[in-house]
Amino acid sequence: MNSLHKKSLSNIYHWLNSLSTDQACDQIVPILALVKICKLNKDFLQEEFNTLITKFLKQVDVIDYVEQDMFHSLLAIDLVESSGNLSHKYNAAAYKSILKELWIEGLYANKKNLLDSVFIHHEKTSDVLDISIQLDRYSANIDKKISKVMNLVEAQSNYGRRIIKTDKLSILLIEAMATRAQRANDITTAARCLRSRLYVSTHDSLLMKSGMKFLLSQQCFDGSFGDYDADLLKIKNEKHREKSTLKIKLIVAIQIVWTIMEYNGYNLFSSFQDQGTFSTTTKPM
Amino acid sequence: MNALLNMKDQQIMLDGILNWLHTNMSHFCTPNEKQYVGIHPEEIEPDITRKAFTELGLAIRFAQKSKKVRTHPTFIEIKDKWIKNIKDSSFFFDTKRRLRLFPHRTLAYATLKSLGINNEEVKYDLETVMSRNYMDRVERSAWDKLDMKYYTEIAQLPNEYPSYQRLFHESILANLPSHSYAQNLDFYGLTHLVFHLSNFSENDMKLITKEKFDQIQEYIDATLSLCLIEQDWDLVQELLINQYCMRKTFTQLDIFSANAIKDIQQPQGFIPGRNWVKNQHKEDYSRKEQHSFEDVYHPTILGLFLLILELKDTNE
Repeated sequence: MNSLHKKSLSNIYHWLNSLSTDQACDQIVPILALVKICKLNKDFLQEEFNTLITKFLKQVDVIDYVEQDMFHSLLAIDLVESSGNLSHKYNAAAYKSILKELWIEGLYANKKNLLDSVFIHHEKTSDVLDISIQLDRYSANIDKKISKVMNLVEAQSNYGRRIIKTDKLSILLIEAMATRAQRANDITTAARCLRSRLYVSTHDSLLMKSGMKFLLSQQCFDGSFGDYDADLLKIKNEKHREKSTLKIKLIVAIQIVWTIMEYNGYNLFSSFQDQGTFSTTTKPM
Repeated sequence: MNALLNMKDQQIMLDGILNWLHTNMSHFCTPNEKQYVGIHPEEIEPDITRKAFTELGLAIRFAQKSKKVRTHPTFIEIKDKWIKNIKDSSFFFDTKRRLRLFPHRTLAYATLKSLGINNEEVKYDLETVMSRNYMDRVERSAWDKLDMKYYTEIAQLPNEYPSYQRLFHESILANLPSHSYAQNLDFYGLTHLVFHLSNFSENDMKLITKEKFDQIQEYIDATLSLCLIEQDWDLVQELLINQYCMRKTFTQLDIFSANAIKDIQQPQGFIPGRNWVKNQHKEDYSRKEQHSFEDVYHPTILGLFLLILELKDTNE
């Protein structure tokens, strides 16, 4: 991991460390999700992030996963399964098992890729899958078309756990999709497209370089990510605005750091712990 | 053979474009220059007709390089009407004072020259303007200067513009802006710099850009893929023409782009621009058939340029 990326991670750590108890409790799920991603590089700042986890978990009794973004919840749970107290672990396992049942029933179709990735055991294979990306050249909804391509790449590659190959033109077009998002300041889509690009090829290119530079340059002075100050001024109530600011900054930070990690070869979905290490029948006293 | 389209598609596209240009010839014709009373000649703006007319003239001039295009019956009719407009609109009236129209008149003069029509009085007027220590000395971007240098050189007017080498070094080609932030305007700068430095592939870009060549090629490819995603058919064509200028051995990207253009050509023969695409994306079906001259004439002329390059005479 190069020094720029390390500096970036270090600044995130300082930002998270500066959050108040109230803020931390209020946004515990996305915070834990972000920390899990930050910890992917086991050779950098592990102790510091572990201290943060301990600090945050001490401040909160019950974590509500249901109201949160499912992806964030699943990341947070993975962290809690190894670092939480008995009560934390029980709640996490309970949420996960209920979610699994609902998934088996066919619910959450719009999260299919994500849930399949978490709950289906994928055989490790060294086979390289060749995929072709059908591009609708005249689609009336460009963003929808881009989302479709990302879904395909994420599903086929199992979020980067499986090596997939595609033709040079498709790789270039995925980079272009990422660039379109950057020009519209759509950071989430930009980050997602760059990850998909990494899932189909890890070679460096002009647009890959400018894309990563774009993501890194979103980092603010305080270590958070995203420039939404002007938009957030629309919220007149100061406390409410503070809350919304933290909320969106965490969402954006998660997207960007995840991409930085994948770029450095740390695959997020490979890091999920194996299922069933903790049983829900062991209730806390 | 390094071609983007097959022969059948080339023919269909060419017929369509020439038909549309001919049908819409009146939109290209310029207003009578003698009608501008009560306004300072120096302040007269080019507006779209002079721009469109001049650009069509450039295509007519360029078509001399392709027998297939210049002998096409519809092309001949367009050319004749273009020449007729010069006289009908008193196109070169008051050249020495209408300085904002200078680039257009220089280009129109160059077009006439390429057709064997030499207007000595116009030449005199244009040279006089160039001799005033003004046109080639004003503060402009490297892009602007390079455009003007190119125009004056094809018109064979004496000038003191900096060398092509120097202008290249001062341009974005030597210092390419990040795609994350570059605007369409920057991309037009890119394409025009490449058109004119290479003189549409007559000059070897490798000799001009030296160690920057590969970077520039990668930048053009990246920009082309971006414009494909954005469905910006005008810029897609400018960049395809750039691929010719770079003497590139076409890749899948280029063939895919050219076919996208061929397929989006409308029944009336025009290639749609950004506004047309925006209207297509709207829910309002009544707007789908609408297209404005302003929006489509330029991509259509670019299509003609592209085909002239596709059908260029080989050295026989």
